[in-house]
Amino acid sequence: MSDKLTVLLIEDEKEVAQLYRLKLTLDGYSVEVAEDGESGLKKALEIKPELIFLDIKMPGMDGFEVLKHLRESEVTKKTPIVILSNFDEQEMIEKGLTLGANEYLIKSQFNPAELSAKAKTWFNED
Amino acid sequence: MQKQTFLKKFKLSSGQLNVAHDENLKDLNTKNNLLLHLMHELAKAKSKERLFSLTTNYSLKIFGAEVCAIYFPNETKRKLTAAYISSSEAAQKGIAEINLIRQLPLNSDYPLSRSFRKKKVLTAASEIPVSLKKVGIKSGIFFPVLLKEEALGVFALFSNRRTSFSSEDIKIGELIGLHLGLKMHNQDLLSSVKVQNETLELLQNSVGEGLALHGPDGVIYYANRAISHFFGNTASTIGLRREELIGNWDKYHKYKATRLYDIEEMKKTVYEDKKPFLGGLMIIHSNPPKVIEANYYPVIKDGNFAGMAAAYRDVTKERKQEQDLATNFKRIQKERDRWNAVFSNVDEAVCLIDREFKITHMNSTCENFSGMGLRQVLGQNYYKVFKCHTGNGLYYPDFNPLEKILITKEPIPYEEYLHTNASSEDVWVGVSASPIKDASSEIQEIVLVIRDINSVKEIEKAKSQFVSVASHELRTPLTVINGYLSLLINGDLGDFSDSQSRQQLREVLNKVYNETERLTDLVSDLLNVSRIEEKRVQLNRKEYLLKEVIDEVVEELGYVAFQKKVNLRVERTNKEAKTTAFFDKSKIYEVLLNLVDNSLKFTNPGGEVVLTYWQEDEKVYVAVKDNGVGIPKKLQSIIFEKFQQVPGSYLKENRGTGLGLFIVKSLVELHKGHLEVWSEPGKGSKFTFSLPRKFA
Repeated sequence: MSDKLTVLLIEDEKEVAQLYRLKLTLDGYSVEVAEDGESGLKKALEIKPELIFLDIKMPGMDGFEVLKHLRESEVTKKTPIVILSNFDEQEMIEKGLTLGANEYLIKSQFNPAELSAKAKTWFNED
Repeated sequence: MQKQTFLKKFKLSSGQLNVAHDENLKDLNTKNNLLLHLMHELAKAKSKERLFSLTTNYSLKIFGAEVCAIYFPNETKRKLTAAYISSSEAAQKGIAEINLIRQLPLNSDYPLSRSFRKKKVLTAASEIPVSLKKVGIKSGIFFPVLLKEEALGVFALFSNRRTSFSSEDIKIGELIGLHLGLKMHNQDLLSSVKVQNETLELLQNSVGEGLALHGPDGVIYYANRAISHFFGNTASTIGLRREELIGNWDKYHKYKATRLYDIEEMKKTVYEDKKPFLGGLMIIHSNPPKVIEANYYPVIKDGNFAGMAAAYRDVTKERKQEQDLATNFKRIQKERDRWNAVFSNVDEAVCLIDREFKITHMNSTCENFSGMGLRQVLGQNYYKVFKCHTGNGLYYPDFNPLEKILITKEPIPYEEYLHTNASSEDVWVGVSASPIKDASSEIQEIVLVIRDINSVKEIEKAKSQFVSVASHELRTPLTVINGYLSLLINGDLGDFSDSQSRQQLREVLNKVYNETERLTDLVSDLLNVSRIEEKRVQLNRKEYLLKEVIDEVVEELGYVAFQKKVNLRVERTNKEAKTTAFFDKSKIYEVLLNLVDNSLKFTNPGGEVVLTYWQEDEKVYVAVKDNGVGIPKKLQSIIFEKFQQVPGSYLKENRGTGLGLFIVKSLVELHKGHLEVWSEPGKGSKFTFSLPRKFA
């Protein structure tokens, strides 16, 4: 268990979170899910994941705010963070990357297998 | 032949020459009678020519002379010239010779010249010229023509008798000379007066003004011809009293006249105050009508009042021009007022600038828009007042959207850019610009119409935001459907050979089904929102019992409530069961279904959702009350907006489209009803809507 790489999924859409968790778990990752911004931020600092998938549109603290806090923290300053959102507006993509996200992916354009493959590339880079 | 030459030379008529043979003269025997007759005739004579002809012809008879002539000095005063010569029948035989005495030097020794110089009667016998002697003239006598001791000329008589002039003759001759001088003087005076009169009359009748002189009694004693032109009267106005001329105008004149001044005041001014009365106006109703200006002056003669001079001037043309000018001015003023009204009342800001972009005028909308008064901005550069920019830092002069109008001279139909207003806010503006050209097609000014399109831009932004959120919402279920299907296809979920994996398959298919349901709901809600926003919703209103629609909703959601272990019930009495209202049943069903469904979602198992309804005045009320989680105060105002949901963990299980309450509120308001919410977190929520009972 301890040799498994940990992925934190901050995602308020329960079905989406379950879907990704299912595939990533099948592919051998340890997957943690946070259902809103606040708990996501708390969990990230707590479990120090190797990779964070971050949703943008969430009730309460949104993804951008979470991202800002994550980058401010010594713990998660260098953690790869991939934004996973169904917003595809250019200005949101730019905002995400400016705030320090490593990548911005459009959810509906990535099926779970492709997402898992993405995760792999990030771990290989480590 | 000789007679003809004579006549020609002296420009005389044969009648004048024959006066000496006039039958009437035969009866005048005595010299005195002839003289008296001559005096009588001279008195009537109206020209010098007549004076001379009478004098010479009568003298031939009186003195029994052969030739009688009258001499006057010529212009140079060096010669005496015969102004008139008459001769007897006998003398006319040698008429050619008489010519020779037509003129002679003034300073000669000849008695004729001396008589002039000395102003004395002189005779001649030996000095008779040979030419006269040839026709039998033997003697001559010369009388100076005198006026006040001054010699005007010489009156000469030639006779065929050697000594034929008695002392009586001399006296008569002197008398004739004296009388002739006097008569000539009178004639001179008369003709000079006549010339003066003629000149004056010419002047008075040539001027365009009508002139009249009234005596102190008011009677006209002089009027020029122009008067009749003014007043159209054919008879002479002389002798008319002023009252008659002015007071009874219509009686004496062809046309009616309307005086535009007070006649009594005029009379008083001129006749009593003895001051001019100027600028009186009257209208003569001729065809076309004439406008006459009347000026009245008192006439003062030797310090005494002697009547009134009236001058009338036709000012029809001037008045017409004046009137036309006034009419035009009024028209222009009206036009200007109209344009001003348009200019100052249009919602668009209108601004005029010159070729250098300096502001020359703007309307009040533009003043409000710029946040400055017209006086402040006049002459200022347009870009200084309206800091226009593209939004990415380009300002004038780097950004000058109006420059091209000076080059193309064509209007700029419409352009959008940002404008920083007086409160330093960026406002979107839509600007149209049109050049105002002069006759030579040079641009004089540019009219700018500036529209505040901020609200339009905000709507646009809201719309694109809506599209962005809507597509996000559509993609979410699609992500789940797509994701699970890809897992199934890739074999990640096994081959379903065992019951566990078949169970997992069923769960996955159930999720996919739920997501397609969600997608369907979302698409349907999006369509509803679009219909509401485009005002395409048609209400089919009829009178229904409220009970009907409420029972239907309860029946529809009864199973959902049962599953969630929430008590769903309706509270009513028999009286309320009969409550009716006019509404579109399907729309109100949708409203109620949404509200009850929401309440069920946010109410925990064991809780209850209660429906009540009642009638109050002309309205019916329906309330859906639960004892669920409630809505935080600060969020209660936004829950009716599109895609706004209350955050909280409970939402994860109770996801909606985020459009339900917006649709509910819109449908209630379409019925002219009202929807309100009461809620307290932890205690529950109550949504109440009203509907008017009658369909107005």
